[in-house]
Amino acid sequence: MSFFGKWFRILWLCRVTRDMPQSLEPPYADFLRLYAQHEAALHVFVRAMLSNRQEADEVMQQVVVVLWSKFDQAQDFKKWAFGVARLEVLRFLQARKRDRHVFDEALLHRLADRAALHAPEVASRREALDGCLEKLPAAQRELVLTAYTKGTRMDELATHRGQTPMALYKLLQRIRQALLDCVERTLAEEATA
Amino acid sequence: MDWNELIQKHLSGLATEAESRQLAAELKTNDALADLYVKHIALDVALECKADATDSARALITTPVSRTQTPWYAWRPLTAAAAGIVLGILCTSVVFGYVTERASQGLPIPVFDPGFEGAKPLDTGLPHGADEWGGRSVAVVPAENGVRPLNGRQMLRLQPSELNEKDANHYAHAYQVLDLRPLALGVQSGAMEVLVSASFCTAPSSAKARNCIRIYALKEPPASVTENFWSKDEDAGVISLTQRFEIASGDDGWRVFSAKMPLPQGTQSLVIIFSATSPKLEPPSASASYLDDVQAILSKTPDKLHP
Repeated sequence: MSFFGKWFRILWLCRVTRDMPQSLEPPYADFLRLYAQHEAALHVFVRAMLSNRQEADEVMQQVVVVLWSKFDQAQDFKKWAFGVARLEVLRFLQARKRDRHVFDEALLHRLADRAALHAPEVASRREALDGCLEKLPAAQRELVLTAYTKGTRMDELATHRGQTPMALYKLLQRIRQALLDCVERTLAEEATA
Repeated sequence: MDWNELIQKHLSGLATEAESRQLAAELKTNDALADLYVKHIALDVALECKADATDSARALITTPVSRTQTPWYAWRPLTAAAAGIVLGILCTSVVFGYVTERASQGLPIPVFDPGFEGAKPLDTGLPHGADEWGGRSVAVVPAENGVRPLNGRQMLRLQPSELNEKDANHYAHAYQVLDLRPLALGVQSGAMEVLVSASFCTAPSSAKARNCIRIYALKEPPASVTENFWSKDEDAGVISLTQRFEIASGDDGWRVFSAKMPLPQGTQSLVIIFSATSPKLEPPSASASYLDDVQAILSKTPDKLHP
């Protein structure tokens, strides 16, 4: 089986079992294990510097190609990966000649640092979010997931629901805040349990 | 000041410049606010991943049915979906692809009749080798419905129709096999990637168009890759990637979309597929989209960074 074939199969297995088999050749297994471990935090890290989803996705693609092609087992993966991501964001902004007079480069670095600080809790936040989504009324859960699906346009969604875009935004804002509060509560309860 | 509200407004692009400046000034000195900002970002990313995973699950259900149902049947859509998972295991929004720019560097892979100028009649279904286009529910057409070909005199119309009674959607597909063997020196090193791009357009009166580009890399020569194609899986050295995108209703004009995928060692052929999908409830005439100027570029993976 090819390297990619294994990769796809293993990743699918991971998706189902959240468990990493041990049968791959060491470099690839190590990369998969490390990438799986840090992917979510890396994504948050990039988004902290680039709040636009599409731009962040574009940079993540480049980050991951670099990580995949230049993986070195000997180095500290997390430190290296976050360093690559930071450079790729700056390179992206430089290439676009983005005038960041509101969020300047110093602030971007600061947000990146705070994101790196919170990286260890990203996975538990996602688990908590799953539970919080389940607690939402089904209609609200469906709405928020539709709103966050790539390609969804808020104006079209509002029209479809017979709402003004601002009314929809306010509703989503309330749902979103409820989810954030729920995640915080869940994590706090887990910490004291 | 309700910082939660201001952060949400800023992240949604609804904050005024003055509000964003106020937020930025506070973020520079207030650690708790910076942490709150990161928590909002983490929530957004998690919701996007959750939403996309749900959407991908829907996509799996609506993936075109294979022609030959073998025990490996289920792997085809899984493999396609896995392409979106490869580098974003639990978040399918991060894929090698979706850049709306043409590659500026790299080695062009010859594409047969990239502008659909009618060099050879379309084959039905998958083509039987390189040097031809195959398709289902597609037709080479001149200017029509207010759409003019991007280049030359003709373009390809993708008009989704029912290909399988059990499908939830209508589909149209265009296929071509690309021969990498004359260019394969770099592919042997496993350090190459392919970027497939094409221009898409909808008629001014059309509904939203849902299109995708799929790339399959195979270690077989072009003459045999499409034999029992849908029953092949990654054990046979097949890897694939699917990039979906949408063109909003009324968004006329040609737009370039692309998908990028690393190539495994020994790749000899690529099968590229351009598709259009529409819900069965939508009138077929409302969902036509057009394809022109197909390109494929082989390039090296990026050089190492030293952070």
